[in-house]
Amino acid sequence: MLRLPPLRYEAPSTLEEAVALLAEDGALLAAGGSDLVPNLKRRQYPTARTIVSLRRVADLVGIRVESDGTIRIAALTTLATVVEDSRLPKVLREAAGAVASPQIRNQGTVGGNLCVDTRCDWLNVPDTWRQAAEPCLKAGGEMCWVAPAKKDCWAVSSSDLAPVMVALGAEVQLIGPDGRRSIPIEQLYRNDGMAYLTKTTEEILTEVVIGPHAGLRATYRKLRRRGSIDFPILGVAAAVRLDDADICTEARIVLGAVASAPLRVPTSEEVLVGRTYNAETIAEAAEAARKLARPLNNTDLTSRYRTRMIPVFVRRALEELG
Amino acid sequence: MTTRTTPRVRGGVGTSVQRPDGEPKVKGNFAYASDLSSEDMLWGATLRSPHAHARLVKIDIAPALAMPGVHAVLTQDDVVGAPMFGQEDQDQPVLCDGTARYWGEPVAVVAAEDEETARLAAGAIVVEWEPLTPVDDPEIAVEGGSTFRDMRIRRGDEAAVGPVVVEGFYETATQDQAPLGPEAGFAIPDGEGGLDLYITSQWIHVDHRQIIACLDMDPDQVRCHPAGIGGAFGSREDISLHIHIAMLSLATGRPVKMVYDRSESFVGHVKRHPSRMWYRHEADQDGNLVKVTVRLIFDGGAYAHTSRAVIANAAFFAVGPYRCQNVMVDAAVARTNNPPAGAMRGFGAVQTCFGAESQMDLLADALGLDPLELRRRNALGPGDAMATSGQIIEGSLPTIAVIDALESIPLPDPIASDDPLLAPGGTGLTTPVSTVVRGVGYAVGLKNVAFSEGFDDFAEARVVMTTAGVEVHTAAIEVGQGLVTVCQQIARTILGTDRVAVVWSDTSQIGSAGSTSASRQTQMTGGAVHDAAKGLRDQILSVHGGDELRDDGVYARDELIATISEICADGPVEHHVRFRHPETFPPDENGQGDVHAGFVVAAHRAVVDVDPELGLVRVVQVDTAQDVGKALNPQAIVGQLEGGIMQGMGLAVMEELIIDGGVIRNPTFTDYLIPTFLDAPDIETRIIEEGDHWGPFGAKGIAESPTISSTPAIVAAIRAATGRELTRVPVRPSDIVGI
Repeated sequence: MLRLPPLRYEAPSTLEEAVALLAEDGALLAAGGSDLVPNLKRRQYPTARTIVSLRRVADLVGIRVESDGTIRIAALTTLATVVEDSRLPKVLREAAGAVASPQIRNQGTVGGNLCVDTRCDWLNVPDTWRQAAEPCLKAGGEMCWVAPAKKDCWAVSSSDLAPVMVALGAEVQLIGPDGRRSIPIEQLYRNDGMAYLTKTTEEILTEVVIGPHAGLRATYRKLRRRGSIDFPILGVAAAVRLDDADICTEARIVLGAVASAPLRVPTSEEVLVGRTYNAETIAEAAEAARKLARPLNNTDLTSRYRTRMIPVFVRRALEELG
Repeated sequence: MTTRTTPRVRGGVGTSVQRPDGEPKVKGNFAYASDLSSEDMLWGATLRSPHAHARLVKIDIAPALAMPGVHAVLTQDDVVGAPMFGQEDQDQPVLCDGTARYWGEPVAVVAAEDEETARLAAGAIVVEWEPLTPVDDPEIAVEGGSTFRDMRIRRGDEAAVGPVVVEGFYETATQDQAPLGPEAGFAIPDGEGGLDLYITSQWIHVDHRQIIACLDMDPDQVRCHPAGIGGAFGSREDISLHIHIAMLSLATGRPVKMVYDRSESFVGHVKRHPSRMWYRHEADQDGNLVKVTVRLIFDGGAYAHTSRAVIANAAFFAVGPYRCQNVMVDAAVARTNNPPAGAMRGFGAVQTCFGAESQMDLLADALGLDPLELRRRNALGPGDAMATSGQIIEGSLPTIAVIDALESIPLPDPIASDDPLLAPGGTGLTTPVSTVVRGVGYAVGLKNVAFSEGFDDFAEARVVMTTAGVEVHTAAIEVGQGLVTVCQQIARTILGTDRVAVVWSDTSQIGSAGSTSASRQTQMTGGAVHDAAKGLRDQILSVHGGDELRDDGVYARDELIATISEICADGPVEHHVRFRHPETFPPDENGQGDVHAGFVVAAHRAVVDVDPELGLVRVVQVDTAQDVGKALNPQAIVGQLEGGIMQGMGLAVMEELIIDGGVIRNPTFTDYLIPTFLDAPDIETRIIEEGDHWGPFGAKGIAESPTISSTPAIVAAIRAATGRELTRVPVRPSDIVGI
């Protein structure tokens, strides 16, 4: 059986205590733990010493919908709760429902999914495998097995909620040693497989806020071989606003699982904005997405296949919104 | 005087008796091998080769031995008996003998106070390796003459020609049995230099033989007990950790427990052989097969295991359940530095069924014939000669009946638009219903039952009448297939009582039941229980002069003349049987002869919905008609059919160990994909009962059949939906999209 390494477990009752604990060497933050625990069992965090669980912190669970339509989701709200909350936009409920399996959605959280570690076929294997080859960059080594010529880590952003939240223009609340701050969620992510979040390790994501979004049409599609359970090998979130004349006034298209961060596709967005939303502009926007992303061979199926599916996925997402 | 009429015994043959292990497994109360423990036990761990092929230059166990809590570190130097083990050929060293021949080959084993210490100690062993170039291409191995067996079948006229010719090249990837229960074992020293081993096994007697040889111990010094198994499917037919825990326990004088983790399990047992198959079918204008020419290369990996039997099976079933006078098969199983291959449900027939049935569809296309009609025209039946071996089919073989029954099952409705989760892509909501294309495909599969080629195949059972009820003693392994109920049902029907318990015996208490594999235990151990129960009944009736045995005793002309207590007045009464199936013979140099003991046939129809643009498939429904001889337990049969179809579906569309330079790249359940419940198709089953000539009550073993033709049926359905050739399984989305 795969077992956890020896660890200290802390479950403080306040965020301030949690922030203080996270300042210690080898401290790792745990929300639902559904991704963290298997990663720990595969010994992906050799420096881990302490798990800081947010389980006992009050007020980190729940969804509030304010009178102006603003949605506030506390970080430890489970994915299952999001799926079942009929007040939430369909796109959010569907994206949450596309994560893993019913059992894992009962455990996994919104904050956990937004901050989920990047993944790579060469990294997410047991330590016996990592030790057999030279360790890769993210495992503390000198080279990347996926792109040996590069000096960067290409581990894949594998969150289903992240592209959707970026498309919806959400903001996240963070608390850290210097107090609280709020940033657009797009700025939470960095296209670097190792340092994929801009927040410091001592900062805790406490809440995600989706501002008023009346009239915004949004959808999310997730590609993978099985009908359930697996991480995305491609995700597309699209949000558009159309005026009465079917002119697109706002568009956000975000790709998941093709880079180390959710990837906005400005080339596609530019095609749409200001133009009539019809099959022709959709096709043009979909084609414009092809050029941007360069997925590598580090998930299920080939990068060639995933690359080819990007315009198909973007087109289908946009068609659904028409 | 009693006047009641003969009671119908409850839970006898033909009823859907519930399995005794079913409820505990669902509730989590079943004791699997990995649940065994004792307070004074040590944990074992294994150091494995990080190279697919390398010379072991130097090994230093001192750093591991020096660690607190470490009690033993053993290498090949510590093997006191035979240095090698293996079921057929003893060609694999217990631990690395100076050369690692596959990635993950055991190099050293450690016993320590706890699991983490054992793991760390294994990692502390210092090994210097000199990497060698691995042979990872089976064709190169075959060209170099590195094979475990070459099979040649020459039947009829090599020069025969048919006017309609179809050719194809087919490939199957490496499938893993992926049992939920990992390899686990528990060794307890008996204080007299011997051992009790609690092991997961499909055949404890053949494990016992290999274990005592490597330990250099007498047979009665080591007792192998079957421990609770969480699935096998062939993966437990060969030794994994068995000898290692015995050595560690003997070295330390302490009980030793070892459990592989999931990823270790992927390298710790043999897998289904990946295959490359070249086919040429020639037929006349009416669709009658004239000649079939086949070349097969299977990759056996680093050690023999059951490769020699697997390649023979692949060759003998290379044509399928069809008549053909002229058949040429050249088959080889290569020795490479890939993970060792061995037994997996279907045992060689899975691969060639994919090739042969793909060919039959091509032929039907070429002739403009309905695919089932082509199969009916060529159907093999009783009295016909096997296309490959020439063996005349004895007993039943209802090939046409299974095809007819399959065709009578109604097709499912078109895809409904109200549940998007049932479209290809599932919860990813990838696929608008309007883009879905439906396809339907068929396949028919043939398989032998029990061991072939002159193997001395037998099963022992002892049936014991006691005052508390009847005991069936057997060493046959229940791997979850339902053998316990089958044994109970047979004994109940013959002995007239429902009080029947199956007692698992260890290797010191009863002889071998043979392997729980080759679909054989229902017929073999079932046959032994049948004959032992019948012998016991006849013996009791003869002693007491009765004409019928019932729950409460012996009856003569409906009158109770001896109670159970009276029958057992001098203690329990028993009858022991060693059951053998009809004799088989090794094939001659042309692969001809009566090599098989019995045959079983099944047909599958698959209905799939495909998203052609994304290449995603949802398997909507897979129906089957199955030749069972006699349905001893109809519900257990349906369970086997459904489970087998799921495994066949796995190979058709997702299950593949990705092996790169001998290294398994996806050794986790995150990356080795098996169908989820959402992926599971609806399944309709039809059971065809045409009693066979030697199974108990005419029953046939059916465990492998559902896995054999389900795969090609699903691929045929995807071809029908997409028009793609699809010559490789699993079919990948990129194959459907065409990139």
